[in-house]
Amino acid sequence: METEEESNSSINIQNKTNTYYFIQGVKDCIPTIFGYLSIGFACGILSKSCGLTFIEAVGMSIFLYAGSAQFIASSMILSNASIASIILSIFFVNFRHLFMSASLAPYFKGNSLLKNISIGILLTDETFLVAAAEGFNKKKINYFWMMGLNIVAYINWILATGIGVLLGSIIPDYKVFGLDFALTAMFIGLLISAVKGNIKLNKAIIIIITTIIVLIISIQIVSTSAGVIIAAVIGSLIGVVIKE
Amino acid sequence: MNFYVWSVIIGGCIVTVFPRVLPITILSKIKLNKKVEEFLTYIPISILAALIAVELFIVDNKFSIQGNFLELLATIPTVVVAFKKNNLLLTVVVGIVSVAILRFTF
Repeated sequence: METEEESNSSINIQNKTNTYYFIQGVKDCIPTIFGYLSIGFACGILSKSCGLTFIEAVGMSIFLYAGSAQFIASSMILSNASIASIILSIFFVNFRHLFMSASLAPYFKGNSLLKNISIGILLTDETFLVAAAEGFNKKKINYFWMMGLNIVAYINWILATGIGVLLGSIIPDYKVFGLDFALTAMFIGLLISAVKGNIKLNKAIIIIITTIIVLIISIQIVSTSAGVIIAAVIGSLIGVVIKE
Repeated sequence: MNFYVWSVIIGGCIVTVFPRVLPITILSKIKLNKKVEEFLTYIPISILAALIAVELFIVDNKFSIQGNFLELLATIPTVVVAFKKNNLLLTVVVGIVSVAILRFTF
């Protein structure tokens, strides 16, 4: 009896901490909501203007869940590109997730395969960046924290695209209010917090400048999304090569 | 039901899921070389730098400074707030308001 009670109470504590971590993840997602709300909104408007129905646009957010890929897919659908060429473009645009997923892997050691699949499947720029900051600070990331973060970001994205499709025709130009800058501002905020806590400022500046120069050079030859991957890889390599 | 659109969505879903899932499931199981781990810790910084540069300097796949001049100006208060306050939400709000003010003024 006693042992049963004990194990019950330990399960309760376990549940409490899981809920606690989940809620903490939800809270840590909140600052990114505005950035993605506006870009999701823009994505919904664009999907509609490319001739997608409400169900198709929202379906794209549910199954693709990747802003820039959805922008590209919608405009390629409008121009009647072949299915294979659109899927290939989506693959290239989203290929950067490979490096994000790899970068988070050390923080999720010891999790079951299923847990790591459920984390990876909802990985996007925003959740990756918030998670990378958490990992830097705590050296390990709680699974339920990650789920809280991922699920809120996912729902936010689906709702934002849906609202964008529905209201797109009413709102003339969302750019007037500067909402399109939300994403850039969020990236800037995340970059600076990533730099501040973790590496020497000089080193960070060298990585950042190298990345930007490589990006600008590589887009003379390849597409922007391929350029992002090349620049990020070379920028990180420079970080490994140079001394503190 | 539009077969063309849904083929794109489902096919796109498959090619998106693999790069997201494979590294985290495989690399979390094996011990990584120190240099590789160090490389991976710089990925957030370099990817962010690249994504910001795309937003600020690239218009229609080409390098351009004039194209986003107001946004570049708005970057200054955004960076200052990000450095001083370490509050993401505040940084985003300052960025949006700066761009809105600049666009109304010019």
